[in-house]
Amino acid sequence: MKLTEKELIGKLYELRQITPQNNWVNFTKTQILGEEPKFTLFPYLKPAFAGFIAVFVLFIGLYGVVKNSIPGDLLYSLRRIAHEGQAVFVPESEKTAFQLKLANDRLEDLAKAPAKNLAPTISEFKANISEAAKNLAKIDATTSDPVVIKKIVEETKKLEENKQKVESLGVVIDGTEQLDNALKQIVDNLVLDLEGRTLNENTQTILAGMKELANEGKYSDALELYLTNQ
Amino acid sequence: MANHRKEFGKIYDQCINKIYRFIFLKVNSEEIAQDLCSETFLRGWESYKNNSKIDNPSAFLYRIARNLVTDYYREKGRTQFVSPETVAIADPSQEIEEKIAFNSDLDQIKAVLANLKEEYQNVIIWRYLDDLPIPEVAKMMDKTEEATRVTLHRALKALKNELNQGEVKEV
Repeated sequence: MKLTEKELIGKLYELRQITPQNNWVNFTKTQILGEEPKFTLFPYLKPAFAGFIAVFVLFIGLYGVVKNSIPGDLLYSLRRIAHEGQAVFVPESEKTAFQLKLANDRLEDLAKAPAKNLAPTISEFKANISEAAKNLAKIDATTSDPVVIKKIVEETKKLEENKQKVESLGVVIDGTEQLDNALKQIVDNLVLDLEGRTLNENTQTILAGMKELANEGKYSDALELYLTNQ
Repeated sequence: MANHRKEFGKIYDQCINKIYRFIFLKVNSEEIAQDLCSETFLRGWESYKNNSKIDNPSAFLYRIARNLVTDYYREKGRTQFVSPETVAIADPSQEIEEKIAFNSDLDQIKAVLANLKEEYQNVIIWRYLDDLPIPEVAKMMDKTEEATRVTLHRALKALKNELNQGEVKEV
């Protein structure tokens, strides 16, 4: 073979193509150094921490399921316990609004899935309304903080909207009479209180409006009107 | 320890092809090259995990590989002789053969290279196959740079002469 030095060097470069088989290379590396750590989302975390993360993720998942559970579901009891826990920390003056909020949640559950767990959801709704009405009966609106009354009015109005939505889906909701009575009582007390005072023209107009709304059974509207003067 | 393993893993990845080729060109057998190459890295790892301060791991592995090849020929009482014909027979598996696609010129060069004296083989492999700079080759050969250049020149000349003669002689 006649080759110039340059050609020879070129041929030598071609010998670089000699390489071992990939599977042998990998196998030998494993044999010598042991298994490489597997890819992990948290490469620096110890198994105990990974376990903690798994429990945390499970907890988050469970929270989601519990949060979306409705009366009659297996996990609703957990949601109810959570509500009861929350209720402990709610100030006495805001308990009515809180119970009304829970009642609203039940109506929203029904609006989402009207055919699902209908009876237990309505039963829970009634329990919330009953509780709210009891708390409402204790309130003296003439001396109460307008902010508290405002919250009650907001939740009550929302309750009426939700009730209409649910009824439009064919679900008949009753059991709100107790709440209506409690609201009526509050409005009546406020009307009496205003009638016993010396009123300016604006307040007289409000009082007249409140009476009219009360006669129509629109107690939350009457309360809302009252709040405009506060 | 885990850190040492990771570091040596990198060294392994960087050097495995070079060390394997270095051995394979001397023994002309895939199976023997694999055995000696595994042994090289195993010994390298044993040393490295006890002393990770090895200055030049690549040179260190080449030294182990050279010693193992020497031991291999000594123990077997073999002369390092390979003809172009036996190269084809003793060539690595078909998979490698296909991959490399040796032509007859390369077979001949490989065979002749394997029959050069060890110093010439090493300097050619390190300089032209592993692309090491002269200063590094000089360190590995424990020579001055000038002496290394001279050795390289002589090695190429010897290779060329052998090829030009068209036959492989026992070294």
